[in-house]
Amino acid sequence: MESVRIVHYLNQFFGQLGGEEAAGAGPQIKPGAIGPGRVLQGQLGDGFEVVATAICGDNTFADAPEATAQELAGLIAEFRPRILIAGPAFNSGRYGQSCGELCAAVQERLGVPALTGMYDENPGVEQFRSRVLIVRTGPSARTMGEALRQMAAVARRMAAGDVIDRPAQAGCFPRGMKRAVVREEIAAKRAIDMLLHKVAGEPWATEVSVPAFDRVAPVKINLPLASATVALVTDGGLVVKGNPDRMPNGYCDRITAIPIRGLERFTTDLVEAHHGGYDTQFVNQDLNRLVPLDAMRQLEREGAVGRLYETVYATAGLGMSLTNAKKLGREIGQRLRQDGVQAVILTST
Amino acid sequence: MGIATAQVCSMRQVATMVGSPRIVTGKSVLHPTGDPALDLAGERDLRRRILQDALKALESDGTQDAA
Repeated sequence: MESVRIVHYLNQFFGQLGGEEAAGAGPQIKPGAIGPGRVLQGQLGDGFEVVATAICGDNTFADAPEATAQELAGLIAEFRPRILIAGPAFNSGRYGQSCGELCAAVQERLGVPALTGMYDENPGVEQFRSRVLIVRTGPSARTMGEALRQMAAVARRMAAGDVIDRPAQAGCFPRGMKRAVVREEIAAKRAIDMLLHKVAGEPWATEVSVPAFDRVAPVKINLPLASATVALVTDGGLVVKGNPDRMPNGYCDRITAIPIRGLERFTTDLVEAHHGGYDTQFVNQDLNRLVPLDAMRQLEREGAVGRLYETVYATAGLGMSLTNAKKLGREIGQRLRQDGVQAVILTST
Repeated sequence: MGIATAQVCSMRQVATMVGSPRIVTGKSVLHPTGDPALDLAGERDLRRRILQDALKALESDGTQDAA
């Protein structure tokens, strides 16, 4: 029986092209196993063969992720792999992104299942875990042996036709997918069992996963408000009339900027609320009910604040993923900081 | 240096849970800084009071108490 054909992906460093000076190396592929691939081969054991090693410099990949992944996928296809194994990338940002991007491309374009490994703080985990199976590794190459052992174990299961539908139990990051199952016992019994285990100090696991929220330390304003620039921001779906930016009214992936220079109050001919998560009829009668521009202008005139920032940033907070919320929040924060804003009043529906 | 924030919000528990550092209770989910039951002058007063509370909150240290 022919061995299970594996193609391995490495960056320039692990692929032995060189260090940071070789990070501009282009996509390439070499027959056989290289560097960590030899250890991987040993861990996979008989019945598996690392037939080729694809390599690319981290910078080349980071500069054009999609095009590079497509080019590599083309090179990889010629070796007809059953499985692609990328990395592990540990906590390396560029390498993690490359591994994730390549795994996704190979799965989507070649229909070949793929697998990579990363440390849980690698940004690639959040970026790719819903699409790509990622083994949980240590932070650095010091944990290479253990990481490759784990990845080989998962690869062997994949080769045997296992779809790894419970990634967390296989030492991987959860993919965030749900599957209906029939449980023998009713929920009340399971809940009480869970409680008894908890009280007894025994291992137990919740059936409802709760997202972990970042804790951001409160920022203290370091000058009097009377000389500060203050911005108004909302998640209540304020848009310029007619919604020219085509901001979705839920599951939103963007922000919109509403210029307010020279505007004393919001009027219904200029702006509207576009949000699918609450009844907008009241705010659409008077948009100051959503973003209090009229009262804020008055406070600005009275000198309660130094200056009102002349743009209102808005999004529609409905069914928004934590990942998107963070991204949009960061985008608004960056723009405000660039323009010297010291404080924000956010109105939420 | 980050940016100080205050959130005007009617679902106070949600804001607390996600760690919002300064929360001012809005009038309603449907109209955080307004009240259709009031006349315009009354509504502007309401908005002004909410904003003054928000500005006062901005001058405070802020908290990070998860519910």
